[in-house]
Amino acid sequence: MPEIMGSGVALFDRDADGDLDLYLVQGEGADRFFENRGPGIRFVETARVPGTGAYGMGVAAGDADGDGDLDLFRTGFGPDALLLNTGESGLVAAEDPGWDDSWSASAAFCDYDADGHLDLFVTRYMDYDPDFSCFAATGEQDYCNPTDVPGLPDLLYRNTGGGKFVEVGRESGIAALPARSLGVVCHDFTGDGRPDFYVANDTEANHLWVNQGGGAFTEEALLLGAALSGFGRPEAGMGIDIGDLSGDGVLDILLTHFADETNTAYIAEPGIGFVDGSIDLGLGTLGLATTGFGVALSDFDLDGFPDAVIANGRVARPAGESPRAPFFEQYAESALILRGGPGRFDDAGAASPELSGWKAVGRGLAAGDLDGDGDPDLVITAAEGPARIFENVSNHDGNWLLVAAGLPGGAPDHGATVRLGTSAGMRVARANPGVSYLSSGDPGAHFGVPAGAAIESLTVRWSDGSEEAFPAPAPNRVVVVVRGAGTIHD
Amino acid sequence: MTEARALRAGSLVALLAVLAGACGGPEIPEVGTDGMEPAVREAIRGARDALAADRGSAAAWGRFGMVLHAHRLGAPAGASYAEAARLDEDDHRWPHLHGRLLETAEPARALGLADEALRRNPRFAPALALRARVLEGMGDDDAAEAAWEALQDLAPESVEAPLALGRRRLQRGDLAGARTAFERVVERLPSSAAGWSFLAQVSRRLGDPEAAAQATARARAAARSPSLGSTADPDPLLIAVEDLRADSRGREARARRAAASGDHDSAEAIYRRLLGERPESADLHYNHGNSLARLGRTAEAEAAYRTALERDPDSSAAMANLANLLARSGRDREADDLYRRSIAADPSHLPTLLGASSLHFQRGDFRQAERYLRDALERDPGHPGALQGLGQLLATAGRLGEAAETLSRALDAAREAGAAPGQLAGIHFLLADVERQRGRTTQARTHLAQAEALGMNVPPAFRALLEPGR
Repeated sequence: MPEIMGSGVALFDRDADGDLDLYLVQGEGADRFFENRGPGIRFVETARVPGTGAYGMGVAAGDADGDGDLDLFRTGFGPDALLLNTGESGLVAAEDPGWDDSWSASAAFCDYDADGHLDLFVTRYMDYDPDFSCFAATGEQDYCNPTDVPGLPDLLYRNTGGGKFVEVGRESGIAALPARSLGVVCHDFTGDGRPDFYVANDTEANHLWVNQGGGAFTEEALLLGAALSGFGRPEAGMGIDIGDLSGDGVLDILLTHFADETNTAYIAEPGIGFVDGSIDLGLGTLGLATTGFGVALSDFDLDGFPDAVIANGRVARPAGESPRAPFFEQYAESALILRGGPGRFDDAGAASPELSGWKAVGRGLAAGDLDGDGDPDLVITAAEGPARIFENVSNHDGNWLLVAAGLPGGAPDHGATVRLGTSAGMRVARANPGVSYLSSGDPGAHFGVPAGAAIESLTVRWSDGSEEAFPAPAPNRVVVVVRGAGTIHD
Repeated sequence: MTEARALRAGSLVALLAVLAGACGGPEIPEVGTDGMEPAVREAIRGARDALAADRGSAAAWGRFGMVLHAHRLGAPAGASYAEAARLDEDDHRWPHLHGRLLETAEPARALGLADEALRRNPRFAPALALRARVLEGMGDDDAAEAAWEALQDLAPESVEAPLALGRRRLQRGDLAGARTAFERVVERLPSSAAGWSFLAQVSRRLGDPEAAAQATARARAAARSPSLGSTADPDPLLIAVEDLRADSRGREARARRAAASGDHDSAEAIYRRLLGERPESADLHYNHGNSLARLGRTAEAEAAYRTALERDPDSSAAMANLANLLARSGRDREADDLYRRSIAADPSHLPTLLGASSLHFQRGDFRQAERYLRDALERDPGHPGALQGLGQLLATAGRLGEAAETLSRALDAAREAGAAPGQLAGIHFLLADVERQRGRTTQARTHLAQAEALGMNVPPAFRALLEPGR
């Protein structure tokens, strides 16, 4: 079963040269690392990172050891691993403190206890035994339905400094509710200044672990309306991204799902909870025919509204298809490209024929500006097939701004929220690479600024809850803001 | 039937189909059955043969469609339903089942089919529910609401209708109306995670945090249930389709459904037949043992559990149920050994801990019984059965204050878990007895009244103990 669920991709600037490098998790064998050798989109494979014996699944980027560069955490069906960025000598497996060796999926770095060290949340999918067989309704052997296999509690690792981690799932309360978890994102969903974790569960109610302070979390998705679809059904949650879908200046949640389910938009209503806005946003029928995994919410066409791209690929044979047909043909689907506008998403596949015409068993997806031209590009991974890079060639006349929100030590502040006041309205974006499915994207907050609009303000709400205003920058540049510094840098 | 004979029979069916096709009407859909489980091939072949022999029969087309539908062969099933509907213009079943097939993949067609089913039978509630769901999915909220209202009138027992109407009211900001609708949902279906979750959200918005917390707890308990997956009202036609599944796992699911509904005769018969095909399955032997035990066929149940344990020596569930069986028949030492083995294999297996505690309680070994219960509560502090057992044990040991406190916790936990009235009544009765012994007659009478209100027949002798003047 693991072979139809993976694997992920990370975009991160390993060598701190200002561009995004590429890490591709492999199911079997060594993972592959490609260095960005732009200008343009040009990558050279410079390393193969030996596996840990696990069937590779996901990857998360973050400064685990606090030395100012980005490390990787790799999950899998089998032992997980922390890969420390050692500069010249590349990525090296850190000492194993007893990482999980079951089936883990997505991971997200986030400083939940505001002690200055990035902690780590790891979702676990299921208590799967490869010797356990499952069957289709015709009696033919098939991949298991998730409901055939029990879930597992997720894991929360507290970073005690220097890249040392202690698992605190039980003490924090997170271990109390096992589930078949896949995607995870860290963000202050309740607005109390403490980062929370939202977890996409497969065929079960999603979890929203609300940070109570003091290392304790309570699960409140059922109370806040983010556990079930608006129809009251648990859905097959896969990937997650957060963005301002409703245009009210608050980050909402977009969850990808199995076929016959919507890609569900949980619209945040501050102080109240969430409502399922999928149908109002036009997502009701778009994507019903496909199974979504990786997802990116980003303003690809620089018109000021977030768009969405969803990597699709089935996990089950279409009804009536023979199990003897090649794997690829039965499971491959095209990606879904959704153009965002004011309160509405529309199918924009026709405008990107190369991407929408590519059929693959899509899984991981990461967005980031790979060629430095200011618009986000895409990397999509596929089960049983090569990953592909899609350069953003949108015809746009808008401007852009990429805000890298960092901590004083130099590492990105995962979980920061950036607000950009423009003459066309307030925009908000996450500065957080830990979204999508099994993947890690550009840690910066990207904004499209419509043509003719001026940038008027820049405010960052840091992951520790503090808020800081910065001078309004000029567009079409990457700016670095550091917590407490009060100034911006190119 | 051998493969060669099966092939010859298949060729004959194909020839008949070709000849029949020459006489008009659509061809019988071709279905490649290579690789399918023999029982499935046989079911499809049987339905196809019956159809080939009577191609003008709507029932035969419909039956063939249902068999294909049961095995997730959607396209040919749809074609068969369409022909059945053409041949019999009065039967609502075929357009309805066709609509269910297309509900999410082709909602516009599904809507037309639901409407056709309703034209044929305006009082067929599942078709009205289908129409409402499809309209809602297509974003036609007003038409959907009208359909849900009509469904509520047509089928007052519907859970789906008030759930949908509550959601609609919530969207509109009619919080009081939404609460009324969601309360109706959980009243009709206390295990509805969706109903409790929406009720929690509405209560929170109405500024009632206590009600919100209680509803959240109920939602969480319900969300652990495997039946969480569907919010749709039961559709008898889809259930009939599922009952046609001929594959081994489909029949196993049917046995589980029968057992869950108390039909242990049917469950036992299905498990027995399945064991003829999969004698190596420890799970089948275990489930067969459970059915036999429920039917009072103790010796056979014991043999089934023992076979399950031969197949899977570490099965805590089989060890626990066998031990329970032995304990009930007075074979305490064997039962105790098995409980110990089971706990060694899986110290967190709660049914084993509860069974072992019960055995020691019956034997008067309260200390060991309490130890097992406290182990269980360490693993699941809110387990209603463990709390109830501990309360009963403490009461028997004369530790009445602790017993009252523990039983009160058991009552809260059982309510949160949506326990059956019988279990709640049992805890109230225990509390009545404890309070009586503590001399708190008023409290005892209150609990007794609640036990009776929940359907318990209280022994007159006990009631007499609480009468005024005693």
